[in-house]
Amino acid sequence: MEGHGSLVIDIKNRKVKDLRLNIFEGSRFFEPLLKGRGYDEVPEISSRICGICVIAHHLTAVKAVEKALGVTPSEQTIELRKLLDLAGLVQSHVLHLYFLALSDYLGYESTLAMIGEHPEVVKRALRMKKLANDASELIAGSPMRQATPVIGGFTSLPTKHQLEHLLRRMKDAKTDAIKTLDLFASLKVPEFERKVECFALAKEKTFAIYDGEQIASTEGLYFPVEEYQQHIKEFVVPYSTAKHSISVSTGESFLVGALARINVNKQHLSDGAKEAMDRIEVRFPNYNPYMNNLAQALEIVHSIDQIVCTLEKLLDVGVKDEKPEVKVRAGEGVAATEAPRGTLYHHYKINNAGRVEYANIITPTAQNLKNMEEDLKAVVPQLLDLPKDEIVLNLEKLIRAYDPCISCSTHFLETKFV
Amino acid sequence: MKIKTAIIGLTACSGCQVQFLNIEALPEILDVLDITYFPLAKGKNSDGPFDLTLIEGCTSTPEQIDEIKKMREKTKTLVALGTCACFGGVNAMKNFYSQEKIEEEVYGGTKLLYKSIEASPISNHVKVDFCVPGCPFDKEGFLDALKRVVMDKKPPKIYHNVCAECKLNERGCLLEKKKFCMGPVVMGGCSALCPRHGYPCQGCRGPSEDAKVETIDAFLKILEDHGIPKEEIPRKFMKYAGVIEPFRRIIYERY
Repeated sequence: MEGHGSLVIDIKNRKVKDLRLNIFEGSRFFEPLLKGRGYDEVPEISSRICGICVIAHHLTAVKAVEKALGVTPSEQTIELRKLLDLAGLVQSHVLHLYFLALSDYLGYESTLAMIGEHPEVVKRALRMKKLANDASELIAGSPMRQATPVIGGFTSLPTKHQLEHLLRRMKDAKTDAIKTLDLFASLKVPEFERKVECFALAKEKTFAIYDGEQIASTEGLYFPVEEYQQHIKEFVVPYSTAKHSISVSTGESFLVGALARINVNKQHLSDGAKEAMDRIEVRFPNYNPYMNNLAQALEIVHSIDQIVCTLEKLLDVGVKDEKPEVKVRAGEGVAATEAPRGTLYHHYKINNAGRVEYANIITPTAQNLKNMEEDLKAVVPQLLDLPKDEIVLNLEKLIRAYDPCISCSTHFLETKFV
Repeated sequence: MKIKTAIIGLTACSGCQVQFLNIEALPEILDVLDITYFPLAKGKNSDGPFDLTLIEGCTSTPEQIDEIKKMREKTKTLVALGTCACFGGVNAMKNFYSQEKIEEEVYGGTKLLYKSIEASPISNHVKVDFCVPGCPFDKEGFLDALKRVVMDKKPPKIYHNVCAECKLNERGCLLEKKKFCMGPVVMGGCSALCPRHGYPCQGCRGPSEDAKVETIDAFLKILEDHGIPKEEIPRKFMKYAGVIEPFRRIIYERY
């Protein structure tokens, strides 16, 4: 029946003549609506863009507004934000892997339907999701509505005791993270490869998620985030309310997200994640988009390690009572972070009254959509000998592997063969 | 017999559907609800009929209005889940701007194949039996509503504002500290999540039961006395529930 998108494929003589991913998700016009709003409202409003990566939007907006206002957050603030961002990443990956992607591979119509036969898997998913949510609640007040992270710092801070408790739970969670990775490593993904340029946030010697001011690509690009418009071109296609993008240097589509991040920054994964990677014998760079799910599972292992490490660091120094301080001035700021689905750009101009004059947001989905279409075009000819419902399932698996931030990442998909 | 349930998403961020999956008691809920339609998380989706339909999001395309009308015919109890479905949410800010202008700004000269219309709460088009507000909705509030659906009882009503719950936290009043906190005119039921953490209430749960234009006038006077810039006031009222009375009248008649 209804949906947020549909896939139209036009095939003639076993060749794909045309392929379009129609996206008709209701447009929400955030950028013009942000204009005139006070700088302090920007993270709150921008974070309403996506309910699956709320935290990523909130923190990217905070970072961009701080750059515009010339605010330098304390080291403690940055550590707490890293923690929050990683918790958000784990929450989103768990939701995506267990609730949206897994059932396709295990032959169930949904994860909810697996509860009878695989209660341990469903319970693990819920346990991991709850832990990630509890961590964001501790830092931000709520996993879905960030009450504490504001421009300049936090309005309220966790206690030592709370952080110690979280640390114990996170250490225990490593087992669940490894089990998740093993589960996804055991799934047989379709064989397919299409080499594309991958982009990710970069910062020396780290697997950049929150912190970082440069963008790196597998084609050797390395540029400051402020230059994003010179390297990424966003454009409108009439059949999609979500925009499309190309890499300016190649003129081609490109990839962002877990797989792209690992392709770009694999040497900076945690030791635990590297060990796990060797054990399951997977090699990166990898250009099979279906492998994005495994990359996400690997990122969960990395994120848990990183959260433990950040918590230990914070506890070692002790959480100081700091108050956010902001002086309003006119300015412009661009920030990027790695949202669960890929690099997220927020760009604002603020006037001397502290109000937004310009807003531009480029979501990972807008960057990946064109690449997704190109992958679908390339994979369709490989599948033509399969029965129709299996073709559709394989295409859905591919779209869901990307995890686009539109509800069409899910089971909307109406596929029309023309 | 389990309750045959549909969960659908309209114009919104999917956050309330995610919030549904965040409910700790999900396995227990699945003992009571048979979710037969939930495109976000299911491959097989039934055509109905349903005992219960949970709707996230507001309508902002003509197709969505048709969709919820069809859903209404197929369902016994219809619930508006979250602020977008209840009051239009942040999506309805656009109703205060020229549609043509904002479309031009986002999509440039390209005309899309899909039409975007005024964002409206679903109650503008269909009868809503229960409203569970919040951005996202409050899990406790949802479970309370769900229990009443199961027992065939009337929807829960929250009579108090955010301040009533905020006082219990004893963290001091942000409005007294001259911050623009919407607490006095906004519906409680969130345990004062934001003010409890030192962040002023932004009004995401919509107007409180007793918010009338006259009582809001007294609140506006306090804001003006605190030196809150005049243009900021209507903007705050339009953020989550500007198309709902009495907030709509405040925006149009007082500013």
